[in-house]
Amino acid sequence: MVSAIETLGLSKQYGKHWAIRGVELVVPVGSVYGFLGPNGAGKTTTIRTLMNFIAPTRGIANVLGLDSQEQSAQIHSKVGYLTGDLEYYGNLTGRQYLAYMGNLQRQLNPRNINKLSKRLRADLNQKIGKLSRGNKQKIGLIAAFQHQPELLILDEPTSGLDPIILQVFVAMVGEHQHSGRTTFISSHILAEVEQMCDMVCFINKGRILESLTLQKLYEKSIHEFDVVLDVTANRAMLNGVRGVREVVINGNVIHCRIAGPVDNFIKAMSKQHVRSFSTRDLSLEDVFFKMYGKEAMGGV
Amino acid sequence: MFNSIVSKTLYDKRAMILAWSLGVFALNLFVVVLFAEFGRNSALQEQYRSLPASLQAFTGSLGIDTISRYLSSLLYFNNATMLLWIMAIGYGVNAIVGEEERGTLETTLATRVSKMRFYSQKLAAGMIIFAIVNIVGLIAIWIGLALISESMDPIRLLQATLMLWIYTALLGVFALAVGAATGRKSLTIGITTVTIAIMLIVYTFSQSVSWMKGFELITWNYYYAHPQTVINGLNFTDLAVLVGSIVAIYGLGYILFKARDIHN
Repeated sequence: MVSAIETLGLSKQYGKHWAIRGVELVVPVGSVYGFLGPNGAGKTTTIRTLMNFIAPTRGIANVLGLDSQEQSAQIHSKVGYLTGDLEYYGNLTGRQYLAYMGNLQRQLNPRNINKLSKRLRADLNQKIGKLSRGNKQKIGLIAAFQHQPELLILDEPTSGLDPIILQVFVAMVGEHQHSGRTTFISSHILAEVEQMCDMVCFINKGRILESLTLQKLYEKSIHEFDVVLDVTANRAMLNGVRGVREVVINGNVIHCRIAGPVDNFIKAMSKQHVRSFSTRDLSLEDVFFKMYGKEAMGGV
Repeated sequence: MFNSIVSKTLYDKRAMILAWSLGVFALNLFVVVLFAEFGRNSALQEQYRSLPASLQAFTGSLGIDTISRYLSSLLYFNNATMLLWIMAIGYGVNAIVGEEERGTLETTLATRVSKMRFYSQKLAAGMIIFAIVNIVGLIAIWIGLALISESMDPIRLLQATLMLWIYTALLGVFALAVGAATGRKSLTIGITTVTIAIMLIVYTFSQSVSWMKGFELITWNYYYAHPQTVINGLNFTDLAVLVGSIVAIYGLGYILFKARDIHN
């Protein structure tokens, strides 16, 4: 098996509206694959189709070499699944819920549950209904990871997690990959995906825009900088810097965008007396607009 | 703690089981004990007999002069049945649609549990719940009979309770199947109650309205009520019709459940 997930012309239509159309995905085994798109792009529809919660109008999906529609129970036994808005049984404690889910999976691993709960600082003795969104999400993460699945399918898994737990989660995904397993993770936050994934795929308006390696993404990506110098800035300071776009110089402030690797720009700035240096994460919509233009945004 | 959907459902429904058991126990006991007032009161007997046939049809047209007729009319035809209808429909409506609306259906189906397993185990849990409540009702009847020093053939009572359990299960599986097929609570409640109300009306009036004669054969009420199991014992043909209906509705519900999307 070469691909953990493979879809061919996957489409889902609601009335006259196509939620996804002709989605082609090839997720290699052992990869951390980022599935990026703004809200409403079709990420969740694609994932729900992979999980056979909804049937595609057209096309096919294979997960771990199995047909997503005909062999979904087999697929689910090998998959850890989590969504940002997953609903839990609020009347159960975290421990009861995890035991129940583990029993349904027939792969209950109490040792692993304890290990993961310590790592994520999850309280398993509280009723889930009384937990905050972030703490519920920790229970969901433990449920997804506890049986050491071959494939993790995570739809916006970081929603509600604080920055420290987010880093624990990033490390867990890394360990999962080092053991030769696959992670398919959807997000609308580019920085998160950059941190975890080795491949990314962009989806918008239900269509796949591009699938590329992280290296290629860096080459194509655009970063925005504001640099305040001790002296009056001038255009010559950026001579020889590759990928400079949209430079605005205002007194001792340089505002610019760099397409591709920023190493060159950082080195050029380090030759100056820099008072402050800031970079701003572009929203995914901005990134899409800059990378793929107006057409990809559906004329927005 | 829970290793199946059945055990989890029974745990979730423990308050419902207790409440319905207490309700049915109290109702059955009350109705049986009142036989001393109704069944042995000749003036009341006379009044009952003077009612038009169409009104007598509402109690199965059996009369209330002997304990078996009285129980058949007032419990197995009317009160207990009505109460159990509500329980069965309530359970059936919530079993799948309730979980779907809360989002926990998707959570469960994300494990290796198939739609078939989920659907079947919800039905199994329902059958257990209906059996518990029916057995509690039977115990109440026996206690009531002892209190008023009446006796009845225990086999007949067991057979009548079996029929009532199957009938309750039929209504429950109908609501469950409609919920599985539609995934919408209000639609499920609407379809289920309208269907059951139409069947009740058709069955009741076909007893007394001449042009409706024969229509009762298309209602489940007929196959449950007409054998008068408390008096005549089990009629296996009628039992087979009810069990067959359960199997057919269950199968159709599953086909539609499998074919449709899960709402989120």
